[in-house]
Amino acid sequence: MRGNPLVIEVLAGLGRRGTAELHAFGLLVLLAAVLIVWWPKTGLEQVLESQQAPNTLMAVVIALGIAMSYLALLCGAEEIMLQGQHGLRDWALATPLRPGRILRGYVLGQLLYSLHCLALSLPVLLTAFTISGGEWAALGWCVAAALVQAVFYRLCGAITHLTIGQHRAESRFAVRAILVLVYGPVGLAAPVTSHVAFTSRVLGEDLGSGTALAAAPDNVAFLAAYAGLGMIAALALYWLLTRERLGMAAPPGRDQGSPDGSRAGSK
Amino acid sequence: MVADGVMVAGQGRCGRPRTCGLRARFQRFAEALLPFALLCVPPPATAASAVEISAVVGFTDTFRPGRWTPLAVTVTNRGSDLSGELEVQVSGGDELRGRRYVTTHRRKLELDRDTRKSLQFTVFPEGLSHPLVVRVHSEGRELARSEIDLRSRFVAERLVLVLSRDANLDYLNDSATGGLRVLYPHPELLPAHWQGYDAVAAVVVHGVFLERLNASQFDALHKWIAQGGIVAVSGGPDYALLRGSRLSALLPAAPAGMTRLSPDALRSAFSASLDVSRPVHVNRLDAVRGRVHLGADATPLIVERTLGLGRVLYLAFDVAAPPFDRWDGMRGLWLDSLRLPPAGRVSLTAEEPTHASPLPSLIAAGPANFPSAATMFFFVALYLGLLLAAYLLPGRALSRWQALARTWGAPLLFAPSAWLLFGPAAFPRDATALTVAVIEPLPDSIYARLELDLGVYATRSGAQRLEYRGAEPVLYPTRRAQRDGNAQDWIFGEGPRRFVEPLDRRRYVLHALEGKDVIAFHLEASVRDETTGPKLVLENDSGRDLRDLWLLFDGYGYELGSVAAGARLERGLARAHGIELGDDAWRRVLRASSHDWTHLASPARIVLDRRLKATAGGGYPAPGRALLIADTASPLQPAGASTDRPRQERALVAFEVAAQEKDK
Repeated sequence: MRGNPLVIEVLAGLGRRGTAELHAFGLLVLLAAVLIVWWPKTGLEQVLESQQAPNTLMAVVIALGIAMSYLALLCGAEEIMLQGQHGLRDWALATPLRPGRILRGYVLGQLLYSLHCLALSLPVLLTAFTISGGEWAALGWCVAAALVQAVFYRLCGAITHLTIGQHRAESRFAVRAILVLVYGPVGLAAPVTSHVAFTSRVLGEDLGSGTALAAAPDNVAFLAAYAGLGMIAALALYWLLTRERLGMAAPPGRDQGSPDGSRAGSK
Repeated sequence: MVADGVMVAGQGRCGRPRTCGLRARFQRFAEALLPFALLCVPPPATAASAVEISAVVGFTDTFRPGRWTPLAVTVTNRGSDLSGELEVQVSGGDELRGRRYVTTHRRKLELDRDTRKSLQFTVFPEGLSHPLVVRVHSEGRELARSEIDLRSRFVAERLVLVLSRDANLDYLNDSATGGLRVLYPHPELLPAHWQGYDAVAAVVVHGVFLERLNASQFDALHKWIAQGGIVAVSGGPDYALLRGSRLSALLPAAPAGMTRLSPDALRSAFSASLDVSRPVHVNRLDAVRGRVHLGADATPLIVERTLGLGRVLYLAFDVAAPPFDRWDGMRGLWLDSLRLPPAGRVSLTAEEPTHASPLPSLIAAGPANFPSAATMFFFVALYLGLLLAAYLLPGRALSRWQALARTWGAPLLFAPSAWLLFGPAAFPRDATALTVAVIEPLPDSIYARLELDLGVYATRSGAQRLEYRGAEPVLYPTRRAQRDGNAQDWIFGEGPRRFVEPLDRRRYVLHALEGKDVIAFHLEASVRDETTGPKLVLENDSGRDLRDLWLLFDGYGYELGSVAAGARLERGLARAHGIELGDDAWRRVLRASSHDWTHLASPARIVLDRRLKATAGGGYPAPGRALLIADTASPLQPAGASTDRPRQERALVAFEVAAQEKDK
């Protein structure tokens, strides 16, 4: 992992000032706002009488999932980047790295950035966790879901960037449309893909059995769905990276990006 | 022929005669072994019937719906040694009104091979539509199950229990509304819990030695009398039975021998209709410590004594012997002597008036609550501020480690802080037990009536079993929950280690029960109304300290401080030093007092309000009576695995004492 230059670049960039850090700070402000809004307004005795457990953790985790997905999309579309980080097209066109290695480093880098965001969110998450009566296992499921989902969105963002990245306005619109589309209509039509439904199920109060593991098959289905979608997106990205490299190697006069079947040059 | 047939069939199937012949031999051998194998392996039905259940509901298999009743279950084990649990499931509630709920009474059961054991439960069969279900299970496997149909076992009348070998009091039977039904239970099957007598109007003892009862049964009888039960003891020639230590402790007089009463004396004492021509022997009574209800000349015939709120009558004559056994006036004499209270309403139905629960106010008054929003806000603001400051720091001059510290320092510092500030130290995560108890000492008794509100909640989902000791109350879902149709399913563990466990394992749900018991709590007090103010004499033999004691009398409240266990307090109080209360009585005291009583709806105020409503306008304290209010330790304490659980408790002693007249 540490030998992958994309990962090293991400590790180096995490400590520096940049738009990505600023956006991570924005994520924290959002979580803090959600925490304040969803903090129990009544006393414990009223909560007990109404039999409505505080939904603070659920709200914070849903917000975390949305914000991390949004950040991943923006990173994928290269609207925001870590200080000193290079774009995916640069790695494909300007280095001899194989597309598979680039892809691995890219996904690992995204995971690192997501973990960084998660670490920054930890005090807020723990504060919400203590009063919401959640369980560690349930929180673990939710965090895993947010991470896997963020990888998928990062790949979607990258695909958008490689396909329509040259049209900035369309690209900006597309990445936001993807987020709204997947969180809205797709989530409603196929609840197994909905992070909101997932979090509600795992952290919601209607979990009568008392353990997050009771809903384990559904949880695995969510992770499997996003892992599967992520694989498809990764294959598409691989193909696009290959096409980019082949397009670079194409003879003058031919359209860039149209593969001719020949092996691309290293630079 | 058969062999040929097999051979032919074998040839047709296999094509190799030798092999198929061998197979046929094996088949015959197997067929011969099969019966033996079947004999050796017991079928499942036989294994299941190794445990048998028989049950007796109420008294002589007769009970009254809507009243607590004893249930004797006998389990016979004809199989191997058994270690499991015996449970009785009682359905309550109404599907039309809300959801039906099930209370499960559970006990440990250890039975050796070819032994039987009888266990007694005290259950509340609310209706007749659902049978009682008795189950024996071990390691998650049901070994035996029995359903007891209640429809053929109930009566609507109040019960009169006659403990006798030969007395016939059937003339007391009356099927009218609020009537009586006479039953003749075996003394050994009497309830082991005082609430088991809930359907009983009176107990008649005739020629029975009470030493036959076990300690629990006698304790239950004694407690039942103390909280308002009526026991009538018939005399007779075998008066030695009445000189046993147990009856002697209850009786209003001691039998000292026999005396003869002439027919004229008897007729003048009872009625001219008494068919008597010869003198009759009656018990000669000594050491009379009660009121003589009926006498002939100087001979007491019916003596009565109050014990707590109940009464014990001693009839010096044999009610089952001539001339009383055939006298038409006996029914009237019994009813006149027993003075049975009018039939009360069913005690635990949804029709009961709804009382506010004191548990929410107990929680509100306690330390457990959500961390304040202000604390959380400042914590988050500080964290974000620190992160922002770190971000704005110039980064060029920083070493690698400094850069890392700038990035990760704040989260590493604030994550443990969040856990410390809002975590288990500040906010309970284990199941919390709540108890609000009102102890009302019964006059002239070593016992006190205990009314209990018991709650349990947790901020995490999971089992919320609460083991307890100290009191053995009968528990039931709150009347409010029953009325609202959201009463929950509960498991009540009985036996040596008692526990309650709601089957609803959700977090942030207040699982509440109400309960009542009669506990040993000996408090004696007298209040004399003197010219300058009341004079109080209080002896605290309850074994518990009384804290923050107040005397409320004649519109004034007097603060008395604390009275230690075993101490005696004798104090003349001047009205000038009292707080004038007016009609508010204890309400003003609760406000004026320390602790959380300043809270508008404190648990103490709620439970005393309940008590006031129960007087139906009679006032609390009633005119001419004084009320002592004090705090004490809760009689019900978490035990076993629940000992270290967080808990909030409040126990209030409320003792209403008749004030003696002003000195003249």
